[in-house]
Amino acid sequence: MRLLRNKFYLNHKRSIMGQALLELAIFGSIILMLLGVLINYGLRYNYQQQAEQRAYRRALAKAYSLTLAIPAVSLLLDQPTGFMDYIRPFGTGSYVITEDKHVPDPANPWGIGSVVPISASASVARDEQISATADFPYELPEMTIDVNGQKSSYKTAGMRLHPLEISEPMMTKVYGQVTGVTSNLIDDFVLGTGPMLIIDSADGQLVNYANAHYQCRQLMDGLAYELERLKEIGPETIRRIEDGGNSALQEILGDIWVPPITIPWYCEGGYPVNSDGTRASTVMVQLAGGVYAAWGGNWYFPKLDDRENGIFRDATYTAVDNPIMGVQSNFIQTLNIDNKLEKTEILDEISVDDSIDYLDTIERKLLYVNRRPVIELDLPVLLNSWEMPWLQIPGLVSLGVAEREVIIDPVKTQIRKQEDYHDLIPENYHLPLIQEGA
Amino acid sequence: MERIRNKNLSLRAQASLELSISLICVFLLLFASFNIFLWVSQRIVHRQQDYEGGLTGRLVAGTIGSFFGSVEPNEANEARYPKLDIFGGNN
Repeated sequence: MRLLRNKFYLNHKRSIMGQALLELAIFGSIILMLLGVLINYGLRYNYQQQAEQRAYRRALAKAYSLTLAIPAVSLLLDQPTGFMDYIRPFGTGSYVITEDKHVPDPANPWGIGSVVPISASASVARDEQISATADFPYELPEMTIDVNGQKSSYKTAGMRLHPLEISEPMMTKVYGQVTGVTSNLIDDFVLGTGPMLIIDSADGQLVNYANAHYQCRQLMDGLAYELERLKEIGPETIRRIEDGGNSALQEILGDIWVPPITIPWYCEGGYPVNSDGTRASTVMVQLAGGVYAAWGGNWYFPKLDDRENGIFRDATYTAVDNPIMGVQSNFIQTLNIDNKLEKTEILDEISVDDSIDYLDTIERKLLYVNRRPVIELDLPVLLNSWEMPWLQIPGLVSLGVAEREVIIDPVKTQIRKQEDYHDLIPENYHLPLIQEGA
Repeated sequence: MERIRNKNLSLRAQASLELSISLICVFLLLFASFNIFLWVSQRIVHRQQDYEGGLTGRLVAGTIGSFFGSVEPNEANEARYPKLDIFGGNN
């Protein structure tokens, strides 16, 4: 009986042997996981803060950096108002930074962890002439994109010369400001017999989809244009229209939409569509420069909306179908882990070589439109040479853009970690024998 | 009988030993976690202080050095921040 009780006692004890170690194994792994989470969050917050501060500093530095005015222009133009007008700070700075950072994890073998992308952006306007517009293409606003130290700058607006338009108020309404180039560019502008200089915020290297779409509708859809103008009418003006009738309405609205307006390249091929996406059967007017309609509803612009052939064809479409240019949010991350374990036993020596080669590659896409400036000789523009002295080149009439191509730059970043471990157990080392009951 | 009695005694001692070793390890892990958390927080605070004022403040990036476009904007020298020293005083 006693023997049986002892046997039972022994088995019971044996079953709780190693319980503490088992608990340590379970809770230890949980604590290691918590440690890993702590390290992960801590490092990510640090890197995020660092990236945000770096982006702001660089955007501010860009806003304060010099633009190099063309010195020759100041000699040719009459009455330059001062040296600093030609060499002055850029005025605005936009900086987008993306960095891939390695975050270790104690729960992984070797504590290797993973690579996380950190992004931040900043935009600064710092200009004593904050309401002034660009006079030269190099003064147009730009955005600098920095991916792991690879920096490049892209213009976010474009400059175009247009023949004199009939409806200058309309161009001002759509583009914000148009400038006649018949007189001194540095001084006040007076719209004369020359062309108009338009700064188009949807015609840069980074095209804003919503902005471009809106402008195309304003230029090609007379009803949409008028509806926009009516939004600006306040209660007093409504009272004037009610009292004055049609003549008052005419006077208030001013120039009615009068085609032809030269439409920009990104609006070419556009047509009105119904709410289900089918082409609307509305009256379209074909005139020099494009087609126009009084529709008021949605439009389809192939260069913007075609997902296979448009300029946004390689863009990432967000939930609201608003593609963007620049660094795309989708990326391909490839992880290669090469772990080699070599164990050698020679006589009584055991040597262990363990090495790991960790390579993480992230491939992103950077989408932008490249403007290839070409000299065009057939624009119906009359320019007096003394009015535009920088164009005093024989045979040159004006500058234009013949073609725009969409460029998809692949941006690849790699992070590599290599570790190795070597151990040699010498011949005079003996593993102790575990003896039960000793 | 003697052998069985000795085995029982060694089994009791084993549970206590394992418990103490495991508790020591758990407390070491917790201590390390706290110190890592402190280190991470201190870096965030130091960096924010450097960003808000002094020679490494963000506004210095918009001064004469940046005017000529060739100088990289000032950034805080993070080598000055407390280093991670789990078992030492990193205050």
